[in-house]
Order: sequence, then C-alpha cells, then structure tokens
Amino acid sequence: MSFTSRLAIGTFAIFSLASQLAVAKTQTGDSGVEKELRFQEGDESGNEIKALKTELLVTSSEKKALAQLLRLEQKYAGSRMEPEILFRLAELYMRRARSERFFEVHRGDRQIMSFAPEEVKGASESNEIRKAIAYYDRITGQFPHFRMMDVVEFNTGYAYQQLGQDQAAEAHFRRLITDHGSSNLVPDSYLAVGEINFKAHRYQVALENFKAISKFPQSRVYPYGLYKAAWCYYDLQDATSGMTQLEEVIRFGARVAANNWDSKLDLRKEALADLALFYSDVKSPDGAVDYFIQHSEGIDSSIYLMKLVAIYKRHGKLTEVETVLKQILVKMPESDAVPSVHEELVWNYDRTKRPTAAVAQLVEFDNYCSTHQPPVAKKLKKGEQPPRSECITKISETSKKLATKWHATWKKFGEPTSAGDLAMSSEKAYRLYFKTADAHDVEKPTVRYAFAELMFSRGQFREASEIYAGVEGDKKAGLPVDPKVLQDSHYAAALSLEKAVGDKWSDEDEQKFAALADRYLAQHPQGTFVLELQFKRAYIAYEKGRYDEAAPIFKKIGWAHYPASEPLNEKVAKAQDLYLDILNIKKDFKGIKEAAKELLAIYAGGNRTEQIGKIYREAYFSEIQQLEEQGDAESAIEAYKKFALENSKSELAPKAWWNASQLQFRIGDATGGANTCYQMHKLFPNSTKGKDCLTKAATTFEAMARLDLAAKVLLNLAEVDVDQQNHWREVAADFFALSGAKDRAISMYMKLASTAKGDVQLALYEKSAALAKTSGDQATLLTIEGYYSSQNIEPQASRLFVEQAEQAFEKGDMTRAFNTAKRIISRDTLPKELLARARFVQARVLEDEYRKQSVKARVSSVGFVLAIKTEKLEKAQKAFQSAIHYADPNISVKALSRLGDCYLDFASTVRNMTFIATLSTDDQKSFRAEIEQMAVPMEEKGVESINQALETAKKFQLRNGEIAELQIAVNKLNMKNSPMTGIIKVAGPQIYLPAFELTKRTSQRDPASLTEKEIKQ
Amino acid sequence: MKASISRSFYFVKVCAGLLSLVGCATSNQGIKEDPQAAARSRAYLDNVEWVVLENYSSKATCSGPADYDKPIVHTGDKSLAKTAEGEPSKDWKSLVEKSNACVRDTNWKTLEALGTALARLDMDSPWGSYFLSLAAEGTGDYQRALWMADLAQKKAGGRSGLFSYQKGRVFFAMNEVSLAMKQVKQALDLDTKLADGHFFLGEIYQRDLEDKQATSELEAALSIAPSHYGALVHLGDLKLAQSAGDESVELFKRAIKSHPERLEAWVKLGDLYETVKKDPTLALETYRNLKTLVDRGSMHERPGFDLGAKIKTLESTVPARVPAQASSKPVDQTQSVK
Repeated sequence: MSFTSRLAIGTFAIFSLASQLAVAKTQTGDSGVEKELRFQEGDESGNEIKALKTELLVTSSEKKALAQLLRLEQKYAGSRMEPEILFRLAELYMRRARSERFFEVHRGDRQIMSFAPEEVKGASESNEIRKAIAYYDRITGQFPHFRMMDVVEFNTGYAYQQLGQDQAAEAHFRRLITDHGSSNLVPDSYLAVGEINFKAHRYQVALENFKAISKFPQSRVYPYGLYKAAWCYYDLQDATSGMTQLEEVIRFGARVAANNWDSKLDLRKEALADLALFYSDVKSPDGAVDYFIQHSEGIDSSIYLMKLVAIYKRHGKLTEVETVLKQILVKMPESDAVPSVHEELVWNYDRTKRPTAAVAQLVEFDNYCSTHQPPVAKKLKKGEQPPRSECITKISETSKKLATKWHATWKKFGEPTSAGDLAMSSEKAYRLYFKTADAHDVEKPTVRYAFAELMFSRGQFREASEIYAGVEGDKKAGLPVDPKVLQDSHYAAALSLEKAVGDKWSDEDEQKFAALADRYLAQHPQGTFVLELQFKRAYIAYEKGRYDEAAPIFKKIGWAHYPASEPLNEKVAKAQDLYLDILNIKKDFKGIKEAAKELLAIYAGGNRTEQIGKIYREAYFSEIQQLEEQGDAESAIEAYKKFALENSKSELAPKAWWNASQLQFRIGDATGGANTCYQMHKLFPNSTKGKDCLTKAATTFEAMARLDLAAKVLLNLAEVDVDQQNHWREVAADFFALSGAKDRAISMYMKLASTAKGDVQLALYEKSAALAKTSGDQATLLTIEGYYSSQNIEPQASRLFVEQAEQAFEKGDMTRAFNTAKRIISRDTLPKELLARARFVQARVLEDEYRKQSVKARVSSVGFVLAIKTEKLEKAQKAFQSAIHYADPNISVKALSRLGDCYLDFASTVRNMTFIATLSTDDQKSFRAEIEQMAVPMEEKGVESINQALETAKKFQLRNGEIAELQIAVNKLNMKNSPMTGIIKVAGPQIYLPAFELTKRTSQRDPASLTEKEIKQ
Repeated sequence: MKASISRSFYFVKVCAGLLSLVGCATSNQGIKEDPQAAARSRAYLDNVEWVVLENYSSKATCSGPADYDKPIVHTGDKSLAKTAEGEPSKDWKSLVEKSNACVRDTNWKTLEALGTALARLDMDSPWGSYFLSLAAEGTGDYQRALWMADLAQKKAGGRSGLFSYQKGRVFFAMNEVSLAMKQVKQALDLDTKLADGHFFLGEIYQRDLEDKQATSELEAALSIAPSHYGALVHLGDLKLAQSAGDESVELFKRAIKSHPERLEAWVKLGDLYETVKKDPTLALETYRNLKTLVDRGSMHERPGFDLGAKIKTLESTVPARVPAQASSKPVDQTQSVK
C-alpha cells in the first residue's frame, strides 16, 4: 500500500474508529468492549472472530452514521451545508468500502460465513467506492469552489486507484497539482502519479514526478520521493544514479534521526538494504566493506553487507561472497556479525566444494568463539556450566550439518578426485561438533553413531569401536537414543574392535571385546547379533588354544535347533566346523562321529548334509585308524569293512576296504587280505585301488614264496586288469608250474597260446612242451608237435623230430629213429646242433646194424660176410663223420668216440672169427696174416678216433665226465700204467646252512683241534 | 633225459616274478643289486655264518609248524604285527635251527613247511626262501629250487654268495655242470669264505684232467678251511699223480686227522705206503689203526676190501712187533703225524 493510500485511509480510519468506539460505548455502556476485542497472540481462530466482531460493530455504526447523514443530506439540500454533508457521505462510503472488503476477503471462510452470512454474501468494496466517487463528483460538479476541493480531488484520485482505474486517478492527481498548486497534497499527488507510472513501468514519467517532490523538503513524502527516484534510476539501468539517490535518502535519514523528526521519515535502513542490491549490480566486491562503512551513517553496515552477500549468493557469485566475507573479518573484526560471517564463509567453502577450507574456517571460527566468550551475567555455582554462546552453537550446528552432509556425500559418491578430502573433512567436522556440542543436543547419539560409521568405513576400527561405545555414554547421560541405533552401536563397537585387532588378540583387547559383547548380550538378548558375538567370543578362545572354553559355546551355537525354513547361518555352520575341529585336534574321532551324526539328524538334504556327512565319514574312518594305531588290528579290519559297506558311496569306502586288506596282510592273514582285495574290485569297480590291491596281494604272496596263492590272485588280477589279462594269466601259469601244479599250468599255457600270435605264442608252446615232457603229457606234446608241423614252425618242429628220433632210439625202435631223423637231415637251414643230433641218431642206428651184423660164416662166404660187415661199418663211419662234420662239440666227441669203438670192434671182431679153427694151420696162418692186415689199420683208426674224441672234449671243456672216460679209454688202449683207476665221482657242492654263534662254536670248530679222546670216541 | 628236459624248461623264459619285489626270479639273468632289500634283510644276515652240512651239528630237531599254512591272527601281542613291518619275529632263529635239522635229516616235507612259515613270518628274511630252495632241490623240483634261490638272493639285496652258490648246486643237480661252475665262480666272487665252492671246482678240474686249475682251487679251499677233508684227499691224489708222494702222505694224514671216521683217506694212505712208498710197516700200521676204528664202529663206512686179509698179507712181510707195541690200543695216527 502506498504512502498516499495510507494517508487517505488514515483520514477515514480516524473518523471511523472514533465513530465506532463512540457507538459501541453508547450502545453497550461497557468500557470493556475494546478489551474484549483485543487480539490475543497465537489465537488465530479467536482473533479472526474478534476481527469479525469488530467489523460488524464498525459496520453497524457506519450504517447508523450513513442513515443519519442521508437524512441530513435531504434536510440541508441546497444549503451551504450540502457540500459538507456530501463530502462526509463520500468519506463514509470509502470507509464502508473497507468493511466490505473485509467481508469479501473472508467469503471463503466457513466460520465467518456461519457467523455473518448475510454481510459476507452481500459485501462489495467496489460498490461502496463507486458510491463515494459519485458523491465526490457531485461536489466537483455542483460546488467547484468547495473549501476542500484539493482534498476532494485527491480522494477521488485515490478512489479510482482503488478501483484500478489509474488513468482516471492520475487525472485527478494531476488536476490537484495544476489547479491547487499551493495545496499540501501536491507532493503527495506527485508521489501518487509517480507510483501510478512506476507501476506501469513508465519509469521516466515516474522519475520526473518523484524528483518533483524534492522541491518540497518539508513534506512528509520527501524522503520517499528520493527513495522511489532511486528505484526509477535502477529500473532505468542507471544503478549508479540510483545509489546516489539512496545515499541522499541515508543522509536525510541521518538528519531526521539527529533532529528527532518523525522517524517515519528515516528510510536509512530501507536505503541501505536497497543499496546492497544496487551495489551488487555495479560495484566490485573488493570495495564493498569500505563503501558500506562509509555510507552507513551510524547504522551497523554488517547487516547490509550480509545482505549484499546474500544477493551475491543468490546470483551464484560465490567468489564475491568469499571476498566480502573475508573483508568483513579483516575490517570489522569486532562486528557482531562475525560469527555469521564465519558461518557463511564455511558454507561458501562448502558450496564451492572445498571441504578442507571449510573445516579450516570452522577451526578459525572455533578459535574466534573461544576468545569471544560473552561475559557471564551471574556467578556460576560449582560444577555449573556457563551458558552456551550463540557463537559456539553456530559452530556446533554448522560442523554437525557439514560433517553429516560430507559423510553422506562420501558414502554415496566416494572421494571426489578433484576436490578436497571429504571423508577427512567430515571426520574433522565431527570432531569439532563433539568438541562444541551442547550436552543436551538430542541429535548427539545419532551424530556419534554416524561419526563411528565414518571411522569404521575409513578403516579406523579401534577408534570407531570407542565412538560406537560412546553412544551408550550418551544414553547414560540422559539423551534419547533410538533403540535401533543403540543396539547397532553396541554390536558395531564389538565388531570394530574385532576388525581393529585382526587375528592376534591380546588379553587386554579380548577383555574389552568381552565387555562389549556382554553389554550387547545383556541389553539385547534377542538381538540380531547375539549369535555372532557368542561365536566370536568362543572363536577368540579357540584361536588362543583354549579349546575347553570354546568347545561348549560352539556346541551350543552349532547344535541348537534352528527353524528348518531358515537358511543355515554362516556362524552356525562355522561353529559346527570349529567344534568338530576341536574334537579333531583332541583326536576325539568318536566325539566327531557322534556330533556329526546329531547334525545329520537335524539337517535333511542339501550341501550341509553332504559336508557333515563327509565329516562323519572321515571321523568314522579316523576312529578306525586310531584303533589300528592302537594295535587292535582285528577290530580295525572288521570296522574298516563295516565302514566300507555302510558308506559304500563315500570316497573313503574303497580306502577303508584297501586298509582292511593291507592290515590283513600285515597281521599275516594273507589269504584273507587277498580275498579282501579280490572283493574290492567287485564292491568298488571304479576304485583304482582294486588293481593295486590285487597286485599287492600277488606281490605279498610272491614275497612269502606262496606261489600257489600268488597264482590264484593273479587270475583275479587278470579279470580286473583287462589290458594285461593275458600277461597276468601267463605269470599265474608260471607260478602254478613252479608250485607243482604242472597240469594246470600246461592247460593255461595251451589256452593262452591258442589265442596268441608270433613269438608270444611260440614261447607259450615251448613252456607247455617243456612241462609236458617232465610230466609225461604226451597228448599235449602231440598237439604242440602237430601244430609246429602243420605250421612248419622251425626250429621247434625239427627239434621235436630230433627228440622223437632220440626217444625212439632209446626205446630200440631203430627204423623209426632213423626215419624220423631222416626227415630233417636235408634241411640245411636248421641249427647245426639239431642236424648233428639227427645225424648222430642215424649213425647210432647204423652202428647198431653194423654191430648186429654177424661175421659167422663158412670159409666160402667169409669174403661176402666181411664185405657186408665192412659195408655196415662204412655206413656207420660215414654217418658218424657226417655228424662230426656239423661241429657240435658234444655230438662230435660222442661220434668220434663211437666211431673209434666201431673201428676197434671191427678189428677185434675179425681177429676173433671162429671159423679159422677149421682151416689148416698154414691156411690159418696166412688167413690171420690177411686179417691182421685188415685189423691193424682199423685198430689204429680206432685209437686215433678216441684220441681225437679226447682232444675235442678237452678243447671244448666238456664237463660231463667225457674227458676222464676218454682218457681212461686211451690209457687202456695204450696199456699205460696210470694211478687213475677210475673216474672221479664229483659229489657236487655241499649244502651250506646258516649258523648262529652258539651253533657255530660246536659245528664250525676245526676238526684239527679235536682231542684224541674225541677221535677215539 | 630228465635233466635235459628240465633244462629246456628252465631256459624257456619263466619270468613268473614280474611283480615289484621278486622280478624275473627264474631266469638265468643275474639278480640286480637292491640296497633297500639288503638293508631290510640285514637283521637276518648279520652275525650269521654258514657251515657246510657235514660240519653242522645241532641238537635241534626237525619239527615243522602244524598250522604253518593258517593265517596268523593277531591277539594283542604286537610282535607279529611288527614283524610284517620289518622287525624279525621272535621265533625266526628257532625256525632256522629246525630247518637246518630238516636239511640234515633230508626231511624235505617238513623243511618245506618250515620254509613257508619263515617266508611268511619274516618276509624280509632270505632264509625261508633259501630253505624252500633246498626242499625243492631235495625233491627234484629244480625249477622251483632255482626260483626260490633267486628269491632269497633278491631278499638279500642281490649280493649274497651263498644264494648264488645254491643256484650252482641246483644246476649241478640238473647236470648243468658248466652252468654250475659258472654260478659257483660268481658265488666265490661274492663270498670268499665258501671253501666248498673251491673244492667243487677243484673236483671238476681234477676229474677233467686240468690239474693246475684243480690244484689251485683245492689249495684255495684249504686256505679257507685247512681241515677240509675232501680238499685234502683230492689234493693228495693230485700230488700223488704228480709223483709228490710225500706231500700226498701229509695231505692224507691231515685228512685222517680232520675226519678219522671217514674211510677214504685211511685207504689212500695205506695204499700209498704199500704200493708207492713200498713201506709195508707204515701201511700195516695204517690198516691196523683203521681196523681198530672199524671194529669199534667209529667209521662211517666199511672198506670195500678184506681189511683183515690185507693186514695178514702185510704182517707176513713185516717183522713181528716188539712186545712193547703189542698193545690193544691202535696206533695213535694223529700223534704220529705230529
């Protein structure tokens, strides 16, 4: 509302109020009405009703006054009183307009509507104003020389202004200026015209009217004109002129104050406030403090400087803010605004994302507050704290806000790379807060918790623990603490300590932890972290080797019955593991087994069951191992087998079975061990130990020289180790052969040979044949021979022929012997040894024929008989020589020896022919001479052959006594008298026996030391 | 023929032992050295020496375990369990003594049982398989005898002269004389105290007219065992053949001294005095002393000739003895040698 409006209304108000009060006083006679209608602070609803009542009273008075005036109008129509009455009526309508406006405004208010519905519904301000204008217009038209015509013009202008008809209003104001130049209302009219144009943004017109007021320095609107002119300049983009105008307003205000004029004329504060705005537009912030100090004219300029700062801030000119604030601190250190300046500066640093600087400023702020403590008004009692200064409160609040703000930002976005250290600044701010915080600050526990959170997040666990623990202190100090924050702080204090300590718990830390954990457990027995803290306490004891202390806690945690619907808590699982581990450390496998079994009863299915099942089995297994270590092998074997059968799916099952077998071997139950091994493959076909087990069994039996048992195991191994099946079967056959089961060995060799190829097959047949010969298994030999022959396998086939020929000869079947040998003689590719043997068999057959050839004959047939004998000898000789030709030492020696014998025999035979006796003496003599001529060379050849046999035997060192035999024969032929009367019979090496000390003394004593008595005995 | 068949089986490769411990035991290849096995068997070989059967004397009897083939069930005494881990069983020496007695008594069946028990109880000991080799040899199962000897050799670590020597003995029994000689020579390389090995070689060389080698081997035998009867007798024969009659006399006398109960040296000495030395007196003395022992039953065998007639013949050529010598006591031959 403009000054002019207030002036006009004021005129009406004086009149109206006087009327109202007069009426009220007249009607009620009660002097307490004014008191009754006085507003009560804070009673909004009551005050509304009081306002309504007042308006209703006023309206009632007005209506009575109006009725009275209307009667006077009629009574004094045409008289000199008429313009006066018309003027009063116009004024009364203007007053009515105000009341109507009240009701119009409250049309939407149900309470007022219900109180005075008719007044409210029918209210119309503009109607009343128009009525007033109508009266003013009657005065102007009918009484142009009315004594207060300037007032009529002014009020008419004002009424139009109220109706929003500024043009009509301006016309009336201008008419007053033009027609009533001496009127006191001229400056007011200039002001009204200025306002109308200012409102219409016609600043130049407005400025001219405002400036016109300067001609009336005594006018009440004089400073206002200056003031508004300043604004016109400002709006005409000439802030500098505006500032000049405002500086004039300030100076005028100073004069008003100095002369104790109406204080309403002192617009210094308004001017200074606007000056801040104007200054921000055109001046540098650097000179701001000096400027305002210079122009404040006795008023504290810091307020307006802060306004300037606010403007800068609003416009985002934060550098300017900083500049001005810093200047204030430098140039106005004792100003009351300094705390606000510090605070504003801190926030400005925050706005410019410089938390480090902000914290530094906070610290400076804190220093300031410390040195500017307000004086204590009264004497403090002992222990009583001085009242907190506003300065300290500001620091506390600011640091709290910034600490939490930075903390939140850091938490959300992390540490910005370009700006300062948010977390560190937050930490410092928190510390400053707790330094300056009001002991009764209800937010203290929450802020402390937040601070602890920050420290925790920054890895400062030990201090975090202490800060968390401080929340409990806040509670004890009587501060309200959110129960959740309290519970969380209790747990977090313990957790932080745990994190601070790491793995190595000192006794001191452990005690602290115990205290924190106990506090939580005592205050929050149903808390979320009860389990965790109980677990940790036990875990520390466990880590420090106090198993007896830890074990029952772990057991309690791990073996409690938790709802099956809940997933297994990690700590519960770990408690179970650790309890089992303690038992494991104590080697209490039985305990582990039973505890695991309990758990298996609790859990059904899932991973945990699998894990516990594994532990159960491992404990079970270890328990058996313990049994084994204790030497109770029998029980261990039984237990291993039981375990394996009960837990056949376990990976330990084959191991248990294997262990059982090995134990059996160890205690000497090799058969049982081998059987166990054999079963292993059937029970655990996927276990590689099956093969190993059987191999071990076979090796064990072999080492025990039990080849019969080893052979049986090898047959089992052959079933298991399919890749080497034939190999193991052959080895088994070898073992059977070596343990006397030759028939079985032969059968196996033959079966293996039937499917074998090449050299492997031949080797098997050779083994089989060799055994068959020793056991007289002719059927097998025939089979093999038939195979060799049919397949023409050499030299095996020929060797069999030679052997058959030799056997036939031994049996006297000369024809078969000769013919069988004959079958291979022509095969030059055969080994010489075989050919020599074959030829030697033939030679022996021919020798036999020669020897059987009788020389008994009549004289007439002597020649024929001798010819036949000689022919037989020649055949034998040729055969023996042929055998010798193959150069096999054994055959050569034998052949030479036999041939020598044949020669000697021939000589002897012819010499002893019996028919000679029938001849005459002379004939006999001549015949003998002839015979001698035949015999002597034969005899010489015989001796020579035997000598050759001897030399050959010596040359080849034949070691079967041939040399001695031949030597004796030679000696005999040479008729040597030799001490060698017989062949030395070599007894062979004697048996040696192991002898221990005692035995050795009696058995090893040198017989040379025997006493005579002993010899005699 | 049996021998040659056996030989052919032997030379057919019977590598039954392809398992870790035993290897190809029945092949004629050498057993590889195995220090670990040697270490394991040390407890069974240290402080044990070997004596030839003829010198063995013990009161032990050949009695085998009745239940040798049954598993040993542990009943709390941990000694058996330890045995399997390498500690000797408490009874192993007793079993060895019994086995020795069985060899002495040629009780091969019981020896087989004892050898099996030993091999099972003391798996690291070579003695079980050694006795099993002797038992197999005794029953003519030479392949098994060879295999068991090789098993014993394996357990001993591959460097025992005794078990190589045993293989030589088996070869000899198989008429594989050359192989036997080769094996015995290997044994002598490993164990220089096997006097009978040298004697065996000496016998062979002597029979086969290789006197130099024979002398060398027999002397080697005597250097180890100065009282080796066979070596003394055979070396005496060799010296006699080399016309070293006096040396022969001394050797025969040493033989008689070492084994007065054995006939051969007595006869050879008497004959030497009678026919080579032409000393009927000494010959008569020798025969008379022999007769005294024969009459007392002290001799293992009786002479193959009429000793009484021989004495009478000699007495006819020798002056009557002086009364002082007409004692009923025999001439102290040992004393006369001295």
